[in-house]
Amino acid sequence: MASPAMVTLISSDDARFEVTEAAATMSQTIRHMIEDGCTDGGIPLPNVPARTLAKVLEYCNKHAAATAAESSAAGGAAAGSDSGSSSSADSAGKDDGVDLASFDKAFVEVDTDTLYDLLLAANYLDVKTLLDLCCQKVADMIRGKTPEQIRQTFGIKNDFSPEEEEKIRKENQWAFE
Amino acid sequence: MTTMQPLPLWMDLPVELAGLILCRLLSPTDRLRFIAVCRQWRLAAKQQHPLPSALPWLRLNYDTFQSLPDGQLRHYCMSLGFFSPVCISDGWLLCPRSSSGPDDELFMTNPFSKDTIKLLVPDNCVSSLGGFRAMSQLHKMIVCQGDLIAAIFFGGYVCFYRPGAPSWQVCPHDLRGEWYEDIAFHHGKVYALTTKEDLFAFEAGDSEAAEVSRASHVEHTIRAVHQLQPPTANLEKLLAKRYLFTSSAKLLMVELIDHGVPFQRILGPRIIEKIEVKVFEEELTTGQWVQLKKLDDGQALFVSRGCSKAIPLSGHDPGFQGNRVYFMVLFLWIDYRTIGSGDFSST
Repeated sequence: MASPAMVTLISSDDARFEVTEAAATMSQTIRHMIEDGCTDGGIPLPNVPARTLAKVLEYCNKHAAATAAESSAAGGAAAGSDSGSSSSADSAGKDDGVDLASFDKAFVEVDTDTLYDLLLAANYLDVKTLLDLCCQKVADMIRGKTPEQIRQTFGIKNDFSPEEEEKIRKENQWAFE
Repeated sequence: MTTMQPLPLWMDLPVELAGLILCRLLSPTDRLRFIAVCRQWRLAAKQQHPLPSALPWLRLNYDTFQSLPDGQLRHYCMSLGFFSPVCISDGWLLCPRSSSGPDDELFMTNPFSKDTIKLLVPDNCVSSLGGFRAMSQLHKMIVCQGDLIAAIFFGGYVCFYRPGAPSWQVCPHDLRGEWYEDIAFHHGKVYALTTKEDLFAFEAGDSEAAEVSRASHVEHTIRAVHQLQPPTANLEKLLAKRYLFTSSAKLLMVELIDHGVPFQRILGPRIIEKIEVKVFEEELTTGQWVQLKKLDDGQALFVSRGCSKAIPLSGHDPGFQGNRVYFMVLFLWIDYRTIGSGDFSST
């Protein structure tokens, strides 16, 4: 097999990352740029700083590798092809599935600032599975908390006016306690 | 400024991302709390339409509810009692008359929407037919479109009530040894399912014509095929429980057949291993029930006597998945945790 195709990604702070095309195209945004032939001299990603891009690429590398292992294990003639890499990551083999699940779980065990950056990057780069993972993590962190606890967790200031507060208090005045 | 202020990152969370997160909160409580966090999150929630269905709350006893999936217990804190038949229809609770109201008045209240519907005690209409106190014979009550209330009573009565009306309307019944097991509102009609799996349709419109049509004409929508079966199968069939569901497009019937020793269920939850779950879909053109192998769109069916509901699940919560039937055992003292889940795809 020929060595895999590589692409260069450039973060907002001008750091360059060389990654396999399979990993890079887990991002639909990058996939479209490659399809449009905008890869000469590297692909600029002006919304993603190096620190976040490195983390996203760690995720993409892991998942792309798992997908590749899965398709070659399945005797897939798709070697070298990267089609559908993001969607087929879901159907990775059982062992890979367990491995990936624990990787994913550990991957989002980060501070809330990093999680926010990942969430925005996953959205901008359009890496569906990573976006799902981040949204789920945030939802898990919200679940069961009061509004004040949620604000504390995410460093959010209560910006409601007293009138709005009163309205919300009424809304939340459950018949249940 | 001496104290470190956290970066206000999350206050600027883009609305579409906040929406994605909100969709993953399946408990109504979590959703209410989400929109009380800050303006931006509140805005996001307002723009998120429609939200996926929230998971149901389980009623454990008189005033205690458990919210899924977080398992938190909630107490209904208005000083109200409830009738013992579990009567929660899509958020509606049936309450006895208020202390200030007249003696023959009941009300239904929806703690989520805070709506209230007043209704008359159906005693008069039902006792004229069966001679029982109606409320002790109530099997199920539902709220249809335009506040129309439909109810079935043990003994085989489908009755309707429109708020403000002077009395309940009793629909003629000719069930020949069957009785109604469940009712559901679907595509403008009230459907009533019998113990023999016959399905009857009643007009539920607002108009006077609908009233007349309801009283004079009952459409026998599905005629059950009664095959000769071995006596044991007949007994099991007789003891089976049936539930009607409205899913997005179709009317579904769930049949729970208990293969255990009859009445052993009071001994404990072991019995659940022996319960067979079948799901059927109405095929109105041929007038038959057709058994399904799989539920559509990741739908999960939540089954209980007073209220059954089909809910499409996004799969975000590992505890509650689509293509499954969740049933709640409400039998006096049986532990509320006895919620069985059958993986429908394997049946």
